Amino acid sequence: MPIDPDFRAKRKKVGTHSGHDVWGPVNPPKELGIHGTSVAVDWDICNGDAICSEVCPVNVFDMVEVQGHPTSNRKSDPARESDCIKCLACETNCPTKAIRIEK
Amino acid sequence: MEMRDFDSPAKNTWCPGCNNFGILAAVKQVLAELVNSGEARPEEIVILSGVGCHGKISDYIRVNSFYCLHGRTVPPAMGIKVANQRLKIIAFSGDGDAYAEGISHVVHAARRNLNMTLVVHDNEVFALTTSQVTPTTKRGFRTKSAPKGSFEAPLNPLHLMLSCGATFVARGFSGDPRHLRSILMEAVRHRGFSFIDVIQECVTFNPIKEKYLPKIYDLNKEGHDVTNFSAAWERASEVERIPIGIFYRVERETYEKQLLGERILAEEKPIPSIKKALQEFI
Ligand SMILES: Cc1ncc(C[n+]2csc(CCOP(=O)(O)OP(=O)(O)O)c2C)c(N)n1
Ligand code: SF4
Ligand code: SF4
Ligand SMILES: [Mg+2]
Repeated sequence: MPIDPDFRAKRKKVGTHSGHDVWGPVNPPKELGIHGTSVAVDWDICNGDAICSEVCPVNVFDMVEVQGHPTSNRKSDPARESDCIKCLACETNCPTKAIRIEK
Repeated sequence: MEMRDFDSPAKNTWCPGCNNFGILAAVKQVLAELVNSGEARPEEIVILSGVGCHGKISDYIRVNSFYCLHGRTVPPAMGIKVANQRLKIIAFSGDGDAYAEGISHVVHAARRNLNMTLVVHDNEVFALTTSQVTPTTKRGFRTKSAPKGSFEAPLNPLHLMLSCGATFVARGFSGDPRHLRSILMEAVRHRGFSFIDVIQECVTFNPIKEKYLPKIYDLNKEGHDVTNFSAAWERASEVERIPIGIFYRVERETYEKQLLGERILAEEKPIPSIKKALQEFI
């Protein structure tokens, strides 16, 4: 299931992480929510493939370790989302469709 | 070095979703790997590009670059290589650039086995000029300038390069950036003329990714012998499935070695000031 394109309307901001918002629900370790707003990565869908960080021409993502999540042990973190130039390379290449770029 | 060390301050003006972004990322990764492995210093890498959307790539990578006339990436590449054969030369061209306006240059670079890499961003369309047919446009493709659809038989770039004597012939797909990066690395390491036709989606004028994706396969995973010319030719003829990967790779003496041996012309003469050199033409 891809990231919900309407998550901004349907979810609530529950905190921040590395300078970006986190959208709930968050119940670690099994439920991690969505990281980022203009570059949003659904951590409950992300399988840690890291193709987004490889194709991003401006290095928006960091891969971070998590523990005990059912999908994967590393997640893509949009640590520098304000650098995004909206090329959509991450969104189109993500194998699990976990990323949504605000157009 | 990392990818971001090759970022340039130029504002990127490709359309959102343009597959040139994936090619750009693959190139930056390869350059970082070249520097980190000690194969080239950043100042020993020279990129060239033609005119078209693809051509902007030389604005977006912070290494020495040469923005060429339309179709003319090869002649300056040749001049640069002959002046200093230590430099790593990577040229980026479009399908219009390389196979229409500039086709004669590409033919001779392959025939001569000039030690350089040519990457063709093959989106089957003149994209920058808002969509006209090129030599690789498929039959039936409609544009404003061909409203009834193109009726011409397209050129097969791999057959062209094989018959011209290119010593490294490959095809990439912008929808598979990891694969693209690996063949680009091999191409840049190849001693001789290395050629990659990259099937590139132009999201604005020729969105081909979804149509091609189910047909794409990696021929090197199917036990293809890259030194077998006839096998390469046959694979390059396939249309039902679309093979990507390295079709052909052999060693042959390069143009510049035959011309110069080990001489580095740039070190034999003091380099004139650029200002002085340019004054001749003003
Ligand atoms: C000598 C010359 N002829 C024609 C043009 C006009 N022109 C600009 S870009 C272009 C086509 C580019 O197509 P392609 O090489 O496929 O690049 P793309 O935009 O698809 O990346 C043309 C014909 C030009 N700039 N210079
Ligand atoms: S849209 Fe492009 S620039 Fe923005 S985060 Fe994704 S890959 Fe990076
Ligand atoms: S017109 Fe096509 S090739 Fe040019 S920038 Fe837009 S999507 Fe890319
Ligand atoms: Mg083109």
